[in-house]
Amino acid sequence: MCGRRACALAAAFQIMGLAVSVGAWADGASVQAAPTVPVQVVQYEALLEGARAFDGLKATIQGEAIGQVMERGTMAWVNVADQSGAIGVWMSAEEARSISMLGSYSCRGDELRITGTFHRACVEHGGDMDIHAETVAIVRAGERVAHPFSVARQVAAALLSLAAAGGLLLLRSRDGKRRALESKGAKSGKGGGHGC
Amino acid sequence: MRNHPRKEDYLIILSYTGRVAIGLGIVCVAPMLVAIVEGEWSVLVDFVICAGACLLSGAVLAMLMPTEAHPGWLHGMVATAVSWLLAMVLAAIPYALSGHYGSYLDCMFDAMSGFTTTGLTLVLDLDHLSMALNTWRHVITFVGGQGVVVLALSFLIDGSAGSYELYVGEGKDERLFPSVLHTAKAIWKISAAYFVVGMVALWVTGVAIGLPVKAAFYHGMWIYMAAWSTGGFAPMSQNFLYYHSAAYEMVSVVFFVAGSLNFALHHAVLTGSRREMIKNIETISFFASFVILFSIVAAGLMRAGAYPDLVAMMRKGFYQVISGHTTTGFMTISARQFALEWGDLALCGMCVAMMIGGSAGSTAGGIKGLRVGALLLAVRHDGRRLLLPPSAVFKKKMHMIEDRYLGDEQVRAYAIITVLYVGMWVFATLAGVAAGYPALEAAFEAASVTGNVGLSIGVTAPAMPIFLKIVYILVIWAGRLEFMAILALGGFIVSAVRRR
Repeated sequence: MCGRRACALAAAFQIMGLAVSVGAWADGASVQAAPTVPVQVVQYEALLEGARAFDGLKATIQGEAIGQVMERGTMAWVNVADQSGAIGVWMSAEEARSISMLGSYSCRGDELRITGTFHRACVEHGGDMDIHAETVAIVRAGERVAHPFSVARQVAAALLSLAAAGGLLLLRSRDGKRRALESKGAKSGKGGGHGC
Repeated sequence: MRNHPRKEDYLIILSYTGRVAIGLGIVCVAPMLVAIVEGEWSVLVDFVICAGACLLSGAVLAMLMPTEAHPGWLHGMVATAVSWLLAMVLAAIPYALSGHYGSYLDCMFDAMSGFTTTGLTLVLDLDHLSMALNTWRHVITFVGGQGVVVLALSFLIDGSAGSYELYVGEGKDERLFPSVLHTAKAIWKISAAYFVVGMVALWVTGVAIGLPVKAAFYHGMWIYMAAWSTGGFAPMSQNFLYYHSAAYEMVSVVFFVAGSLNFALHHAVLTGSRREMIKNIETISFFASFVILFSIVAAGLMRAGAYPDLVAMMRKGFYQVISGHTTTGFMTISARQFALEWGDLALCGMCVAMMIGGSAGSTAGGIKGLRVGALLLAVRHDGRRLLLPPSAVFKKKMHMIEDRYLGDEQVRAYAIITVLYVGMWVFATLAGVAAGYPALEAAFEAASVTGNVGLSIGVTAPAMPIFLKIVYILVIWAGRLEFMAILALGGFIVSAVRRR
């Protein structure tokens, strides 16, 4: 019975992995080839949706290293995002240090291909869904992302700033006059009534 | 105000709204500073545009105040409701300019979600958002938690007539001081004091869990603002799962639980009345409902076999329940895991926790512990009345800073708000089901939206139908303002369009 279940799980894994890898292969057509790493890349969404089937099995994911490397002793957390979401990868601190760029506003992070054991709810890590990496390969180096200025926006910003400054000065002078009027009214005992 | 609004009424309302817009323009300074420090120059320009739009529209509207103005109850209420809508439109400008959103509606959704401390988001590619825009998301959550109008009251409206109505319209009716202006300032002082402590605690913990010092500082600042405001926004797409740290989770719990407590309770405790913590009806109600609901969720998780051991179940279950019950919305699991792994019983427990929410007069949303506690007390009083002889006299009171008489009028007011919340949850659930989502998922998301929570089961996404986005915006707006200002606005519109 157990053998049957294991076979069914393995078959499910193979089918899902192959199906997803076709998409990933098409998406990653321009990605430089990583020679020695298996091609069966599983997307995060497929892992999430089929978490019980994948639990404890080996999986290969490919995605961008994002945010920060969080070293914990000899190991480290690196969060890896593909187009469908992000997952935490538990790897050796040494491997994590080989990542040169992490995804942020100003950078596109290194694209990693990670093979490791997928955990639906990792016992070692308090129930986190994660992957414990066995191999980590950088398939594309990250790069800085330029954010050019828009002249039209600069002009709009300048004009709006000038107009806003003018408006605030007018309001200030109007408020001053109002306060003077109110204090005059209060002195002469004609304080304004309150709302109905 | 008369039955049929006059020109003067419109001008007073617009004038107050203008002051709030000016306040929002000033708040833009925070992300601008971050943009300068981080060299995000194109983002800086976006925030100059936003600040300019806020200050210009605010100045123009504020100048409309008639010379002989007599602001009243309805002016304050309507101005509050309108102010939140205007703030949503204006705060969406930097989002739209960032290119991280599919439409301006999505930007407004996120702005309203931020102001109302809901924390649901439609942002695309959050992991590549600029530091300044991330600061903006969290600053508007922080401002919204204390109250957009409280901000204006504190610094821009000089405690004049109508200010109490503005304050109450924002869902806060506890006065720490006789003057509403002093109360508004005290709220900011309490928040500022916690800000320093919370940010440092999260910064230090962030460094300890391996974040670089600078990143730990920013994450600490953002997470503190979201936690204290019971907001739920986080700087990364995985939300709290990004950190993979029980320590970071525990520190956040301290501050979002603190944020979900009544400002009056904070004030009482900080000024020496420490026993208030164990006597207050809201803390008792919160503790009791948390224990019951966590037990239900834990039973559901065990039945569903969601986690392999007790430690994992306790850690994930506890965090999601406390986050939902305080209406914070931080998540340490993926949204889809709720639907795929948690099971129906746990989800039902979560729905109730989200609907009850935190304390009245806090940054939290939901029906509120005060109302739930008071209604249960009223049930107890009625039960005693049935059991005791008709001539028996017993005290009908509750303790909330001081002993208060719990009369029928008070119970009626609490019951009305509770019924409105439940009605709105039903409405939002039906909208979700109509959009094609399974009933339990629609109910979960509706509870999150109604209670201004921010936990998601995966319904809230950029691809969800436009009508559902609009429904959710309206529901989180009404839920945050606790209906009164919305009903006032509705009444104002009806009286404006009705023929004389």
